[in-house]
Amino acid sequence: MIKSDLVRAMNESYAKLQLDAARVEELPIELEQLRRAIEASNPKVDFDIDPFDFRAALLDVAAGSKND
Amino acid sequence: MTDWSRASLTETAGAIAAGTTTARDVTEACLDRIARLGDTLNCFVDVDRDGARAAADAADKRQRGGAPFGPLHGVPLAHKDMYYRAGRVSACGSKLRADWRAPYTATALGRLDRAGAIDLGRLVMVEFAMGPHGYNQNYPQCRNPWNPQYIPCGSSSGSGVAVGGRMVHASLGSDTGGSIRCPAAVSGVVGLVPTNGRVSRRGAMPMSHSFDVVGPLARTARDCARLLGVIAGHDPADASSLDLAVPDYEAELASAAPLPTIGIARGYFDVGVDADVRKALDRAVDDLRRIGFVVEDVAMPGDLLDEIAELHPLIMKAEGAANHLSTMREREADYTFEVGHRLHAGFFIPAASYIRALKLRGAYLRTFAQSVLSKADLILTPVLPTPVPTIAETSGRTGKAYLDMVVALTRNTKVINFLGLPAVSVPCGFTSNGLPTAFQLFGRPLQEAELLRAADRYQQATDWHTREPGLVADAARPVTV
Repeated sequence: MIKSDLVRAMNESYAKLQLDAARVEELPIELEQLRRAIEASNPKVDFDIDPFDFRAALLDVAAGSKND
Repeated sequence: MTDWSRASLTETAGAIAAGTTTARDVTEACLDRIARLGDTLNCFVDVDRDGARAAADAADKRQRGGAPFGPLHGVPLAHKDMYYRAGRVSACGSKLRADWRAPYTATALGRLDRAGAIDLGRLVMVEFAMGPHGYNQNYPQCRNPWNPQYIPCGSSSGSGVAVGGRMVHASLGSDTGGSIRCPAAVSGVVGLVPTNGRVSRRGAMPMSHSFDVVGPLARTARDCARLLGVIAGHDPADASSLDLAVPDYEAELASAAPLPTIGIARGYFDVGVDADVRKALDRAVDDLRRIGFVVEDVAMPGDLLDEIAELHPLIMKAEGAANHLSTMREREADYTFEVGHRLHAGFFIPAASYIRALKLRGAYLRTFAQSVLSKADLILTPVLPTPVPTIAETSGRTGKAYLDMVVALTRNTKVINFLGLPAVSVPCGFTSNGLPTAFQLFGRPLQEAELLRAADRYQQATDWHTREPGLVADAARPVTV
């Protein structure tokens, strides 16, 4: 679970943004949504797949046809 | 006397080529409409009247001299203010770039120039293309041409409004999660999102390099076919551009090949569809069947699309943050409150999560193609599931309420960007608030010709695309907002 303390710590160590207090409270809600999204998908990530596989997939699918 | 600003791009180009009218007369007609409606709709950042007149006169002179001319000869266009032109300001909707002059010209703009198009100026956009509603606090509120109390959508807000308001014949927009299709839908024009990589992005401001696509908004599918034929194709200066032959999209509209089959998306895309929108879509399906298309229901993989809808912002925000890290640290006060906040989340996304999301993209495309694109050539969905909201209804939201609004506006479009597929937004009627509604067709990668042929056949049999906002028909009347 992402809490505002974590956001503050990450900001100080990396992003260094001028976050106002209201945003520090709001950000964890958004980040928690994103974290849940990637957690849900994690089991489907193939160790051997290159992130650039997308371009190959695009061309493969383009070459396919209905009823493949 | 014909008012050529109200004709389609291809009709107008044909009339100029035939000598029925001139580039100067058409340009004056567009400048006149901009003068009448520009201050009401606020879609232009800058109108280059002198430059446009000089370019139109030069075009007419070339034609009179018998010189060969291109497929857009003398046609006035204007583009989202994120397409670079050497030496010209390209503000990208931001104070940060208010005086920034581009060092080179965008490949897509250069191709339009060589085809003979006249550039009337820079169009309003959402700051750094981050937002689907069409707001930008750096400019007066850009307004919907059908009713100025309603949102124009974004981020290519000025593009939709200028084309729908008959101020220009077409415009380049960009689409990362719906930024061509949504403004096109709410302004009653056609918006085309080509396959990821089909059109060069060199000289187009980056928002999210995985998802950004350059494409046109115009009044007809035929107009979009002509424009895509001009701007598509390999660009050695853009590593993401596909090195593949470009079909003659306009000639393909008349293809005698069997019509593509159309699947009506059942699941995910039809969740929360308003009754008015559903009625318009049902009527569009009836029309498509009457035209001769085979149209059948196709079940959508709802769980997969829900996952994609959640992964899209993760990639988009991480890439957006990477682009803006230095300026967010040094000049955050120069970002609008809304966009500055929208960028924050991207700085806190772990690199491993971002890369894992990228790794899923190809696999999810293959799975989606197997389960959906094997059932029909093209898939039909609503662009927006609800009627266009008013400015008042969507202003001033923060936190979760803001995120919910973004999700509602982009639900049906952003998943297509994740998959890299081509799509077209086609006007198909009006909801009870008097605002346009539209359907989206998407297909396999590189299937733009089939999408445009289907949209063109639909437009030949219907007249939604010929209807004009009341402001256009009665532009001489003073407008009160």
